Amino acid sequence: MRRSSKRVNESVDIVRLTYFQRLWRNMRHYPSLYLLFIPVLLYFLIFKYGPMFGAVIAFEKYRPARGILHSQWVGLKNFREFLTGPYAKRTIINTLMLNFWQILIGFPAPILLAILLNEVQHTRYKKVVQTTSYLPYFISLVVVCGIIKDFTASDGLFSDILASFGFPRENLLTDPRYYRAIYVASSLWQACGWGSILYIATLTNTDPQLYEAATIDGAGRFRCIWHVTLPALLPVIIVQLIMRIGNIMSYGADRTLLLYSPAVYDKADIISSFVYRYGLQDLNFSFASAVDLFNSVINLILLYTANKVSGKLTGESLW
Amino acid sequence: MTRRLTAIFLALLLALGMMSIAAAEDGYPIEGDWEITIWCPLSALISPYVTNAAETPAIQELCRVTGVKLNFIHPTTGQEKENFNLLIAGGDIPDIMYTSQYAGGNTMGVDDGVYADLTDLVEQYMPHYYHYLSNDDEFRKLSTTEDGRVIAIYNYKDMVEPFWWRTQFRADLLEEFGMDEPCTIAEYEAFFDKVLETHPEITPFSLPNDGLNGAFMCAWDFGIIQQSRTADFYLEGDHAQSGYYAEGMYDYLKLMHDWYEKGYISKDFMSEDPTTLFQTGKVACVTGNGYEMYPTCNELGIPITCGPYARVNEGDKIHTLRHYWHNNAAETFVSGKVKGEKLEVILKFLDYGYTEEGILTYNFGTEGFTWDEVDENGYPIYNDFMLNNENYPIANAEAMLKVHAYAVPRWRYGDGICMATNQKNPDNWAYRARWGDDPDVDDSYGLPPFVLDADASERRAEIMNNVETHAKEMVLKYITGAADLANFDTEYTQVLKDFGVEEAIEITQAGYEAYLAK
Repeated sequence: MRRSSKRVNESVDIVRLTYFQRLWRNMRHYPSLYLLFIPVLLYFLIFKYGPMFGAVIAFEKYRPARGILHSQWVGLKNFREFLTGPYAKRTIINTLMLNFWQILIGFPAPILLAILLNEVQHTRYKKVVQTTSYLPYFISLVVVCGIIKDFTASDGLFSDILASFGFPRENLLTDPRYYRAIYVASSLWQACGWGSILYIATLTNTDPQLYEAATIDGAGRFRCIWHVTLPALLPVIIVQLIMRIGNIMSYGADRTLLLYSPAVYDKADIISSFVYRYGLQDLNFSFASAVDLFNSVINLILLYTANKVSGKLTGESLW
Repeated sequence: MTRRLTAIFLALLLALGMMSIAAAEDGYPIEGDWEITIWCPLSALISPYVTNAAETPAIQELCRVTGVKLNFIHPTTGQEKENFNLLIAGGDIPDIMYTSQYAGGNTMGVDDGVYADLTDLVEQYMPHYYHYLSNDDEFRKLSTTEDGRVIAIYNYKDMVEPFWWRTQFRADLLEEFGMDEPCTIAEYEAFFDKVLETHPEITPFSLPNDGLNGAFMCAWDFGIIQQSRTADFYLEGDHAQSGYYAEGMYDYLKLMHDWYEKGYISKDFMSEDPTTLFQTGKVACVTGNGYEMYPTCNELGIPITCGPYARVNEGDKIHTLRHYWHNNAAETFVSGKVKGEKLEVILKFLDYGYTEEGILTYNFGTEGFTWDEVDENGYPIYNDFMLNNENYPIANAEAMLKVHAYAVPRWRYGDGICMATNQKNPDNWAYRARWGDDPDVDDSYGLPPFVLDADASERRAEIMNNVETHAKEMVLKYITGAADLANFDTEYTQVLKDFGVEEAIEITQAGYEAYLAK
């Protein structure tokens, strides 16, 4: 009796305390948890928050020897230069289009694979399929892109196949019409199996009784998938989708840099590859930072919107 | 006989004595305990054997004769600019820096204190270098900024040598068809047709990845015959012009599109290295560095021969870039941070390459190490250690055993004289020299590599960034037919004009005039 009244008192106290007092109290109660948290905190401070100050160079005419503090301040000049320049519209559209296809095809694929694997009864067969589908993920991207370049050359594997159907031999990768298809297909092949792990893990935790109950109620396979598997996956799918949308503007720089060429800039040049060329190859650090900062702002807006919309529609959201 | 021998002996002794006096006057090895840090990319010729240039016998010898300890910082290959600017942003400035990588260019580097302004120092501390600077007017113009400052040290080479960038052919195919090396466009087409007809497994021709081939652009009076610089600014009469904006571009693209359609040009030209295509026997003709391709092809058993620059009609005059050999891209900068005695030592070390002894060391290696005796012209003859080294093939031996590709400026002998590769294989040199005497070729189109001032060079880079992106994209599209040449005026010329290419040309012209007026 006395103990519970004390507890009541304590919770009343907690309400009255400020945030930091509560934090301090919590830290004294669970010191080891906070100790564990320190590396994570440091990681974010050093690698995520620290560099944010560096974004200041987007408003400067940055020169390395003068440093961030002593370079000339130019305000929004770099942003204006990008947005009124000839390549802003194209790179933004390309970024969005590439991601549109990537999400439309690349996002559902691992879910589908996970559901299909979930239906496989033969354990050994399932394991073999699962493992082979992971494998491409472990091949370095540079190697994968090298293989793609060889396969799409005019004497490559794909051209051989197309030629056997009577098509003329072309270099497929340097044709703007096929670029996005090759890009999406190659990343699908590489990432699909790996991406399905999360969904498969979620499904293994689904209560088998749900399936039994559904079957007893007369549900067939597709009904089971529709009413049991998918609802079980839904929270994970939503979180993944929101995170993926939050990645749109920064996605795919490395693969693009390895696959594109001036001939396909039309369809292939995305904001991140543009930033790479102007910033790191031509050393326009400030201009590139401005473009990248602009990029991040859009990213943030997209992420926020996606989260809001999802919260409204499904009740699932990140925060 | 004995008397003669004695005379020779005495003469030799005298010569030796003079040499040692000269060496003493030069003051090398430098006294004291000095360490100098050099920033320069690691040469691909030594990277198979060492990770740092300081480990090569060549640099160890150099340290011995100059008396300074050299430390090297090598950037990651392909990320030189990025690495360099990160280093500078971190506050470290190496004592000596090879080639300008500073964001914003050379003059801005001096303004920001990265590079030292050597104008008032060279005369006193680099007397041998200053000798060439003050006696060779052209060298002085090329080696100083628009306002006459000395901010970098340049190689000095007083001879023009044959150029190696030429169109290469499969010699066996030419022989099979009973043809000489093609020269006019029509002759090229006849050769390509024959290849298509008789060897369907071989593609007749391939282009550089960017579709621009100077050895053909010159047929329409523009362009530069050199890899990756094909569409740079050049000189037309006394006016600067941009290769991208030249009138001949349309004709060039029309021909290349034609050739692409006819199947002459490899469908993979945008992604495959032309040299590799040739050396694997897939392509019968490419333009490339014959000097490197010749020995490789000999090794691989691909018969190779080279031809003159292409032209529309027999007897057409071809204008090419003059090769400013004594001022090639090898610029060397000194840190703006070092002061006092250390700075003097650095300059003295850099001056070594222009002293009598230094010229020999840098061009041939040290006596007794890579050479023991000299020929009738006084040029050292390489010894067995260099020519038949058991550890390194000749090309690598050259870079391992003598200063060949490092950040040390010097008075340079011609490749024909000082390269061990050429002493070992004279036919390599003969191959490079072929067509060097073409009477219809002159070098009047070369724009001297003068240095623009900071603002002008920044403005020009800003314009040319957009111009080049658009031009490179359209060039490839016109060749493959993805874009129609009928719209060349509106899609290409007009766009470049809108991007400000004419202003960039004006900036270059103004720079050229300032150069002439110096």
